[in-house]
Amino acid sequence: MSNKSRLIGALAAASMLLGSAAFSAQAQTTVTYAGWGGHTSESVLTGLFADAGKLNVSVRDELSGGWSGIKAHLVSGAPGWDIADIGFARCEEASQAGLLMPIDYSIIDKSKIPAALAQENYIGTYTFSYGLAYQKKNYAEVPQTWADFWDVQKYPGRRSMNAQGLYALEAALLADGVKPEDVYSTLKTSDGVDRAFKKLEELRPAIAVWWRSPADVMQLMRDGEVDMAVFPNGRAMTLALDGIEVGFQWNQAFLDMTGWLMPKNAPNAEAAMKLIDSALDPVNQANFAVKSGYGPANPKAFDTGIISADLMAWMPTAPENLAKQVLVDPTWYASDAARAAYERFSKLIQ
Amino acid sequence: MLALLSLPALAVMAALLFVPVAWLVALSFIDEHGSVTIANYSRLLADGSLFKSMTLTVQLALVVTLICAVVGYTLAYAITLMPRWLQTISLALVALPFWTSALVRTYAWLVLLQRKGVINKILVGSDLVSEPLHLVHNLVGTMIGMVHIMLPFMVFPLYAAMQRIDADLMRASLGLGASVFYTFRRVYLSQSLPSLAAGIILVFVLSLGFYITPAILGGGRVMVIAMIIERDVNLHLNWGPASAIAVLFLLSVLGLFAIVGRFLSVERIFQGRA
Repeated sequence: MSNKSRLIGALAAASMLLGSAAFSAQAQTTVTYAGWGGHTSESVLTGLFADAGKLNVSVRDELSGGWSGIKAHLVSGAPGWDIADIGFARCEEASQAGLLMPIDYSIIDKSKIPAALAQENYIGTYTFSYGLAYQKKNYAEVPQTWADFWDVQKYPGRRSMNAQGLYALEAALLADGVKPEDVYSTLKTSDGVDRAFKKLEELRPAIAVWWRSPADVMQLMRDGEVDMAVFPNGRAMTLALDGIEVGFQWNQAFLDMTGWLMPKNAPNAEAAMKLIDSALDPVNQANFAVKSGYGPANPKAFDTGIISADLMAWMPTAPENLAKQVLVDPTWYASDAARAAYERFSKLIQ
Repeated sequence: MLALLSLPALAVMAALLFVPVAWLVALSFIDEHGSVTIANYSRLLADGSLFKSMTLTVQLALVVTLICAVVGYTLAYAITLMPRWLQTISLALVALPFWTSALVRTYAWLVLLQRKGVINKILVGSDLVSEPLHLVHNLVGTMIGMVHIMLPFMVFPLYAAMQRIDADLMRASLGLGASVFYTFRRVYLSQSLPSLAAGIILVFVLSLGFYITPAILGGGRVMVIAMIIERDVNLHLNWGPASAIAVLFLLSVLGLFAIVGRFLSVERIFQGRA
C-alpha cells in the first residue's frame, strides 16, 4: 500500500470514529445534578453516578447553592435541573409546598432502601449522624447518653452545641428522660417544646461555644477548646484518622438523611429516575461511602466487601451503629412549630 | 454649568445608593406572597430579640470606639514624638495588619486567645492565673478583635493632624505660665479634636456593621444586628423581615447622627477642620 492510500485509509477511519462519537453523543440524555460542589459532588459523580455511561446518560454537575439556592430555583420555576441534593427536612418542606415531582417507584426499586427513605416526593440517598463527641483524655468514664452530656457534675468541662439549635431540642428531651422513640411525638406538642427549652436552660451556662458550621466545631474539638460537643460523624472520623483523641458516641446519636428531589419541571425526568435507581445499587453506594465518608442508604452496600471493617465502624448505617441511633423526623423540621421553636432557640442563646 | 457637571456624579449616586436603599425599604413592606404588609415591622417590635441586639450592637460599638480613641490617641501622639526612622517603622506596623484580611486577623485572634492558645499558656505557665481565662467565644474576644481591626482608622487621621501641630505653640503656652495640663487641653487637644472626632465617627459607624468578628469570636452568643439579619434571611428565606431590620437600623443610625449633628458638623469633621 502506498503512503497516499494509507493516509486516506487513516482519514476514513478517523472520520468514522468521529461520526460514531457524534452519533452516540446525540443519543445520550443529559441529566443535570445540583449538588454541594467540592468533594461531596465529586464523590456523587464518580460513586453514585458510576453507571451513568451504561444508562447512556451524561451528568451535568451544577452547584445548588444550598437550601436558599434550591428554594429560589424551585419557587421561580427556573428550568434546567433534574436532581437536587439537600437534607431530608428541606425535602419535606419543598414537598409540602407542592414544588416537587413525585418519585416514580415503577422505575426506582424501593426495596433497595429502608422504607423511611423512600418518600413520595423525595428519596434518601445517603446518611450522616450527629452525636456526642468528647475529649478522650478528659474523661476516664466514657459519656454514654445525652443525660451524661447534661451532667456537669460527673462530666465537668466546656460544651458546644449548634447555634441554630439543630438536634438540641431532641438531645434535651432525651437528657430529660424521654424515650428515643417518643422524642419527635413529644416535640410536636407545645408542652414538649417547653420541656426541651427548660432542660436546655439548665445546660446553658456550660455551653462555651454555640458553633455555626461543622468546620467550626471540628476546630473546637481539635484545639481542645471544648470538652464535649454535638458533633457530625464524618468530622469525628477525620479527627480520628488524624490521630486526635476524640471519641464519638453512637448511642442516642441523631441519624439524618440527605435526599434527592426533582423539580416539577425537570426536563429529563425518566433518565433521572433511572440514574437514581442505579445510584442505589450496593456497589455504587459502597464506592460513594468510601470516597465521601457518608453512610450508604442501601444496607447491602456493606455486603459488597468494598467498605473495610475500619470504615464500617464510622458508618451511620452500619447495622451495629444503626440500632443505637434516633432517626431524625423531617416532618418536625419542616413544620411551622419547628420554625417558631428555632426562633425561640436563637433568643435563648442571644 | 457647575450643576450640569455634577449630573454624572448624581447619576452614580442614584444608581448605587438611592435606588438600592429605596428598594430595600420597599422590600421591607412586602410579605412572602408579594402583597403589601407592615407585618415585618410589627413582628420585629413584638419580638424582644431585635431590641436586645440593637442595644448590644450600639454598646459594643461605643466601647470599641472608646478603647480605640484612648489607645489610638496615645499611640498617635507617641509616634509623633519618635525620631523619623522609628515613626516610619511604627506607622508601617499599624498599617501592616490594615492590609491583611479581617477574616485572617480574626482567626489569628482565635488562635491566640483560645483556652490552649498562646496567651492562656503564658498566663497559666507563669502562674498568673490558675485556670485558663475565657478570652474568646464571648464579648471580650469580640471587642479585642474589633479594636484591632478599627485601630488604624483612628491612628492615621490623628497622626496626620498631630504632625501639623506646631510644637512652638505649646512652648509658647508653657512659657506664658500655663500648666502642662492646661496647655495640652487648650493648645494640643483643641487642634487635634476634629481628627479625633472624625476617627470616633468613622470607627463607631464601621463597628455598627461588623459581622465576621462577632460571628467568629463571639461564640454564637454575641448576636449583633448583622447576624440577626443573616439569621432572618436564612430562617425565613425571604427578604422582607431582614429588610425591615436593616431599615430600622438605618433609621436609628441616622437618628443618632441627627443628634450628634446638633453638636458637631459632620461635613466639617470629615474635612478635618475645626
